[in-house]
Amino acid sequence: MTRRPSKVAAARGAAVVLALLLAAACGQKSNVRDSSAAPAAGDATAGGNPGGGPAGGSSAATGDTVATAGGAGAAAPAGASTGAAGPAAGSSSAATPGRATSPSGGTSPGASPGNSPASAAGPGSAAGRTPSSAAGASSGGAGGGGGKAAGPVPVPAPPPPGGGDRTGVTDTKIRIGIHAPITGAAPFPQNAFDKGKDVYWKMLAEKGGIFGRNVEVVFRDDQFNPSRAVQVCREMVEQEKVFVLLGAAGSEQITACARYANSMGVPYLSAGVNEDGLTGLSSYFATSQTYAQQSPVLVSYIANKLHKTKIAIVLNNTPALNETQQSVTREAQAAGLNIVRNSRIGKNASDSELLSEANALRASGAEVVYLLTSPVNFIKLATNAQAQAYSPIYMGPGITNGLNIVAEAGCPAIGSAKFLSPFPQLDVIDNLDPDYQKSYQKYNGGKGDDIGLAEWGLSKVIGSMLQAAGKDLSRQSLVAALESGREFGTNVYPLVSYSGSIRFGARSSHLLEADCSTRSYKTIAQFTNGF
Amino acid sequence: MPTVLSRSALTSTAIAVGLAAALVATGSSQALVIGIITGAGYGLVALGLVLVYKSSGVFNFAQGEFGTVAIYALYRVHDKIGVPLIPAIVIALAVSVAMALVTERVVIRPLFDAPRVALLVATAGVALLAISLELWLGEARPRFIQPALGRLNRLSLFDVAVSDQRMLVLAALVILAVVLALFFSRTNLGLAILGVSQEPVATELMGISVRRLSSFIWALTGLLAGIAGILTAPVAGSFAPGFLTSTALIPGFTAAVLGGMKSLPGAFVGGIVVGVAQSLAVSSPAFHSIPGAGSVMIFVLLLIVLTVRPQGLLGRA
Repeated sequence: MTRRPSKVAAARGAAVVLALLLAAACGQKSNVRDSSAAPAAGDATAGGNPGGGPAGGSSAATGDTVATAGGAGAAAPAGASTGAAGPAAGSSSAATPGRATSPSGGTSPGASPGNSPASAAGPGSAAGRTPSSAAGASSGGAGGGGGKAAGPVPVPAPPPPGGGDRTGVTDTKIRIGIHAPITGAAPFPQNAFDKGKDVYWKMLAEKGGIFGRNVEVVFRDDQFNPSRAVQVCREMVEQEKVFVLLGAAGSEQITACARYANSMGVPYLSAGVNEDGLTGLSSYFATSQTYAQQSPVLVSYIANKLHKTKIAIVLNNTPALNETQQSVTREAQAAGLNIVRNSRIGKNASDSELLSEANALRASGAEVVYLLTSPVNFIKLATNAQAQAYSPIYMGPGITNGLNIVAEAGCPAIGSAKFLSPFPQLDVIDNLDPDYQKSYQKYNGGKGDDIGLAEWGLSKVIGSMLQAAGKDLSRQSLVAALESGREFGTNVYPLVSYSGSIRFGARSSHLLEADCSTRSYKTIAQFTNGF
Repeated sequence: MPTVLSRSALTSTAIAVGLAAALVATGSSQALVIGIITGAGYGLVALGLVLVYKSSGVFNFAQGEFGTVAIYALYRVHDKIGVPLIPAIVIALAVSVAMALVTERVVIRPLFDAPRVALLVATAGVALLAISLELWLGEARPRFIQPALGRLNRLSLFDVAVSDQRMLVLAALVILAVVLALFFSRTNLGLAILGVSQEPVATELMGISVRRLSSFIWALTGLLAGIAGILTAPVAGSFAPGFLTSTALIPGFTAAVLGGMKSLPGAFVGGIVVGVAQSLAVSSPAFHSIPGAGSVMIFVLLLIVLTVRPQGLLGRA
C-alpha cells in the first residue's frame, strides 16, 4: 500500500491494459491448424489413379467438378456428372479454349432442369440449374450477367511455362490456407468450422484426389480484424507455404488479405464481397456474387415480390462498402423505391448506437431495411428495433447473416429476414448435392450444418479450379485456368467464370429466409439473379 | 461522511439536471433518453470498478469477465438445463462471486504487497484466462437469453420506448449506488474497508482482518459484476465470450474515472454521462462522417478528464 502510484500514472497504465484486453475480448482462438485434413495423402491415390484425375464413376459431386473443368458443351448433359465427366479432368486445361469467350455474357437460357452439377460445363445445362440465370437477362443487370469488368484491367498471370511457382504443391499434396472470423464481431462456432473444412477433401481423396494429390487445409482465425487477417495470411504464405489462399467471410479482412496475396503473387479466392480495393488485383477471384452484383437482385425482390416502397439502407461504416452503398442506392432509385434512411453504423457498434439506429429506422417508417453488417450487429439492431415496437423486413446481401446461428440467436427479433447467400440452406441441399450430408455423416458422424455446407461448397469450387489447372499444377497454371473463361459449377455455389479482366464472375445467388418457428433459415430461391 | 455524501449527491443532481436541460433544449431529447438507459449498464460496471479501487487501489480489469461468467452460468442452468429463473439467477450470481473470490485468493492476495501496477496486470491476466475459457467451453457463437421482464412498451419517453428490462437496469444502478454509498459512509464495516485502503497496517493493528475484508470486497464486486451482466445481456441482443469486457469495460472505466474513481455516486453519474455522450455522438449528424464516433467520444471524455481534472467530477484532489 505504501508504494501506490499516483492516480494518473495508474490510469495511464490502465489505458494500456485496456487496449490489450479489448483486443483479447475480440477473440483468442487463432492459429488453429489441422494437418489431418486429407487422409493419407497420396498413398491411397497412388495405387489408384495417378494423374488420372478423379476417375470416372465419381459421384455427382466429384463428377461435376471435373465436368466443369472439362467445359465445352459436350459435358453438358445434366446429370452426366458421373463417369463420363471424369476424364475431363485431366484434359480440362486443353479442352477449353473455346470457352474463353464471354464469361460475362454468361448463362444462356438453357433449360435443363436437371440438377446435375455437371451442368456447369455447358451453357445449356448451367442454366438448367439456374432457372433465374435463364432469366438473367432481365434483372441480371450488373450482377446477373456475371462479372463486371472493372476499372483497371488486371495483368494476366503468365502462362504456365511448365515450371511455375509450385509452392505448397507436392506430388501427393496441395496445401491451401483459409482465414475466417471465428471470433470478433462475426463469431462462428469453431467446432463447426473444424468439422466441416475437410469433408469435401476427404471425399475427394477417396476418389483419387486431384491428379493424385490430396488437399491439406491450414486454417486461421482472422478475428474479424483486417490487421490480424494480414498477419495470419502472411503466416500461411510465408511459414506454412500454402499454395493458394481463401477468404471465407468479412469484406475488410478479405480485401486486406487479397491485397497482401497479390503482392506475393499468391492466388486468392473468396466469396464475393466488395469490389473496391479488389479490382485490379491480378491474383484475386471472387467465387460468388459481390455485394454490388447482389443489389439488383435484392431490389427486384423488394419491388416485385414484397411490393414495398419505403426502404432504409444500413451498412457497416467501412470505406470498403462505399461502392455497395452507391450501388444499392442507385438500384433502389432506379426501381422507384423511396429511400427513407441511408446510414452507416460502427463495425463494433455500441448498445447506444444500435438503439439510436433502431429508433431512427422506426421514425423513418422504413418497411424494408437493407442491411449489410456483421451478424452480431444485425442481431443487436433487430433486438433493439423490436424493443421499439418496430419490426421491418430485413434484407441484405452477404455470406454470414443467413447462417442458422443468426436465426438461433436472433429470433424472434429478426422476423422473416431474407439474405442472399452463395450457398443454399440445408432444406434443399439433398436435392442439389446429396453427397454433402452423406459425406458429412461419414467423416464426422452426424448431420451436417450450414457452416459445413458453406465450406463444402467453397471447397468444391476450389477443387474444380485446381482440377482445371491440370496435372502440372502451379500458381501460374491455376490463374491461367481461371482466366481461360471456362465455367465452374458445383450445384452449391453459383456458376462462375473469369477472364483476364473479369474477377467477379459469379452469376447468381440463393435467397434465404429466416423461419423463427424453427430458428433456422430456409431457401426460398435457388441460383437466382432477379425477380 | 454524510457531508461528503450530500455534496456528492448535490453535485450529481446539478450535473444531471443541467445536462438534461441542455439536451432537451437543443432537440436531443431522444439521445438523452437513449444515453440514460444505455449508460445505466456502464454505471453498473463502473460501480464494481470503483468498489475495488476505493478499497484496495486496484484497477480490476477482470470486472467484465466476472459478469460474463455469470451470464454464461445463467444461460447454461436456465436455458439449457431448465432451472427456473430465480434459482438460476442465484446460481449465476454465486458463480460470479466464486470467481471473484478465487481471483482474490489465488491472484490478489499473493500480490498484496506488490506495486499496484502488478495487480492491475494480474487482473487483466484473469480476464484473458476467463475469455479463453469461455471460448473453449462455450464457443464463439452469439447466444441469447430472454429478459427477466419481457414487456417492451410500458413507458415511452420522447418517443423512445423504454423496456421494463432497461428500467430494471436503471433502477438497479440507482439503488446499488445509494446503498453502497450509505454502506461506506454509515456502517462500521464500510469505514473499516476505507481504513484498510488508506492505512492497512494501522487497521490491522486495530484488530481488523485485512484479508477477510479483502475477500468481502472481492465477493461484493463479483456480485455487482454478476448483476450487471445478467441485467444487461438480455437487452444487448446477444452475448459471446468477452461480452462485458468488450462492450462495457472501457465505457465503465471511463465512467469510473469521470466520477472520481472513489465516488460511488460518481460512478452512477459517470455512467449516465458516458451513455449520453456516446448517444449524442452516434445520433448527431455532425458526427456521421466519423467511423466509430461513439468510441471516439468515450476516449475523448477519458482524455479530457485525465488531463483537466484527474480527480474526476466528484472526486477530491
